[in-house]
Amino acid sequence: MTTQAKTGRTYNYEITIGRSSVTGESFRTPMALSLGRDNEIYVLNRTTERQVLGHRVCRLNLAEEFLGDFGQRGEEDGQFIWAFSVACHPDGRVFVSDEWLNRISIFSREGQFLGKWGSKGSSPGELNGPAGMVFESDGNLLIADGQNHRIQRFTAGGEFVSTWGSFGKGDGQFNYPWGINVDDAGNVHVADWRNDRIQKFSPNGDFLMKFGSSGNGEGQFNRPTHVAVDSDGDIYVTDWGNDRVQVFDSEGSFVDLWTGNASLSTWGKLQLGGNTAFWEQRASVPDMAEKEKKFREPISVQVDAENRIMVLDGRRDRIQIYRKAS
Amino acid sequence: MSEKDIALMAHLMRRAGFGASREELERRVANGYEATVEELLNPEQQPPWEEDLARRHHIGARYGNGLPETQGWWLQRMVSTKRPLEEKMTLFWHSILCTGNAKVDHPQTVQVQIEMLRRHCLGNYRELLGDLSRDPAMIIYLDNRDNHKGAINENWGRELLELFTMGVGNYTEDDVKEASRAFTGWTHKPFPPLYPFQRYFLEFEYKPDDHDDGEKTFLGQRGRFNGDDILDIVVRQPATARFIARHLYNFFVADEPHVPAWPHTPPRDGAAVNILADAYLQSGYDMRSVMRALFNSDFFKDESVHYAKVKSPVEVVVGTLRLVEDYITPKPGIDALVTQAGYMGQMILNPPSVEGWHAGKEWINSGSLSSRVNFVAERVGDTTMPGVQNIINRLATESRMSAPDFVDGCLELVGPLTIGEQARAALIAHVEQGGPLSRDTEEQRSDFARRTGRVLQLIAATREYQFA
Repeated sequence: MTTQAKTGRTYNYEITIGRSSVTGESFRTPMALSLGRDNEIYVLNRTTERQVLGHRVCRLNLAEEFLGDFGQRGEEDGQFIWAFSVACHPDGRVFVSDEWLNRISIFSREGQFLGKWGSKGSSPGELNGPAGMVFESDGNLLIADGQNHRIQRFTAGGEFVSTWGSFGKGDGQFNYPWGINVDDAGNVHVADWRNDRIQKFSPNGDFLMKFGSSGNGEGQFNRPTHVAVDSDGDIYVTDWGNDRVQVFDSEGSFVDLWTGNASLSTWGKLQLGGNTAFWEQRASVPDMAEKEKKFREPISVQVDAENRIMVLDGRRDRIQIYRKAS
Repeated sequence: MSEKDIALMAHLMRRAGFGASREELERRVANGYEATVEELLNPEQQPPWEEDLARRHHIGARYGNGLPETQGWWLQRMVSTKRPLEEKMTLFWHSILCTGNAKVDHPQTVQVQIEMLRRHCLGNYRELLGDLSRDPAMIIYLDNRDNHKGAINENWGRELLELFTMGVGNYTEDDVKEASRAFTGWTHKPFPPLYPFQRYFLEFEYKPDDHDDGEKTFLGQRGRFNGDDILDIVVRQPATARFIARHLYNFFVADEPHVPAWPHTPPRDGAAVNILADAYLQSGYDMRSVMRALFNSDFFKDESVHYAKVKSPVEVVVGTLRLVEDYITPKPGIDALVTQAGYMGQMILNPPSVEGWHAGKEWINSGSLSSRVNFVAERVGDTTMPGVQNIINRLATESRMSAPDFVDGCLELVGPLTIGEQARAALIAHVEQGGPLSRDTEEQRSDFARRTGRVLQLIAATREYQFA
């Protein structure tokens, strides 16, 4: 599939990775994805409370190779209750935020538990519902401190560096911020979730711009969860409550809107395997391919160095990958 | 503000909701009984449930893939809603027009049905029946997808007449067959399998080629009836009015015998049922009008029906959580609380049969009673809970320091609850055994809180606490 946006940009759908299951080469109710070294992808899964082993980080690559997983539900070291986001440090370490335990857990690239930090509170350096995270190029970690309605910057070791924002609707204020990302210039983009908008800040937290309002029209959002920026400055937003992804230029002007183009993944084909009942059931649905294409609660988005846009399709347990061709 | 007014308001809030704190009762009494009834009857005037926050924290539970999170989603809503009658009415309809996931095996579709019931909960019953007949969960549950032209399946047609509208004794076997013919071709569209990308929403489909368009005779009327014609006929029957009225009396006023006994057992209060049936017919099947008649009636306010219903397990769980103010905002563990209600005999979204749950005294057996008491005792004994702290602070503010005064204060603040004199004397003796109550020092204040929690636990074990 090729999407020709009104502004002349061209996007090609490339591949779908994933399938739905609690363990093994699969995802279940994924929350976030992060790009690691050597084109590795880390996907954080929440699943349900009873599915203890499903609270995990999956490690895979673009060749659809499943490289392993780590974590489970619980309060012990290396475990999660309400795991929210995953972020890969430039040195390869993997950081996971837990909005219930108010802590950041640190793992090696292969998933060995290395440490944790974080405590509940509202003072600078304390956390209340840590949500999205992203590493800056210098190795500092930005956290959308959800229920404190602010952004906080820490060293990778957990030392508080700086903070900005407060609860509200004004410029630089937040209402349950969720996803956070940085562009090539180091500017910070935040999915200001309950304000239905994206805000952009300079690296030191100065407000630069905002766009979006509540609704389901072009340029409007229903609880946007995440944001990413490509090398041209174009901005991709997972418009979670509207089951779509929207694209904006660097000024925040609407460019394009995607409702999904997924196809049956390799892992999915393996899951269906020789189960003829599943194949027959699929064949009985007249618009199966169209149904299968669509996003359902896309929740996280990242862009890699080759302008591949990876959309974590939250309630379909898969990643839809697009590439910007021009 | 008299204790009698408080008691009446508490009765209303137990039945039209899941109970209320003393502060809420006092506020509502000051506002007036009829004004409170109108507020309850018009839930859209209250703030909506913060569904987005529930979605954020209970990620994946809305239209869940599995049953427990889908059940937890509704329980969270019942605990934290500011529109209690909306949820109570939805629970009522779920208890009557029930569908069980054990057969449907598609939790999100059952949840969609619950949302449909909520949408219509205080609306027009004919419209509710119209959407229910098209509801994919119901179509699966009562086999209407297997109801074909020339090869009828009577399950939906029979239960529509027997359990959803008129009740046994008011129609014939031929009427069942003719109603079933009228609903041939009412099915759902094919849907994808669960794997590999989770479930998809189910959609109603009418297949004209599979519909028996022939002439039918139903309840003495002839015509080439389709399903909607059958609904038009049944909804206006006096038998339907009485049947729904008796269900409402049973759910909101006082326990009745189970539905199968109704043809042979007169209603506990036939005049009350007639009042409700008249309201149903005169209003054109408008449930808001019927409920207004119910809550403002003398038979509802009469003290003889206060605490005349055994609390359902959902009322025990939700009422207790609201009392102690736990889970007012989302937190982990809500799915497990659904299981607690299950231990007491009620798993929402999964009733035991199309008859729903056998309520009243049948909620109580040796196993369920201990589950009920333990559940409540564990929570009211937790003095860190905001609702328990409110009770402690209120007792302290009112200087309820003598043992009888302290016990009576606890009873007032969890109900008000009137218990037998023997039970009250035992509670007083328990307090006296612990020595004088005081709050002069930090240690005494801590002891006061602990003893309050203990008395609340003992109250939870009384017979009276099990009634609504």
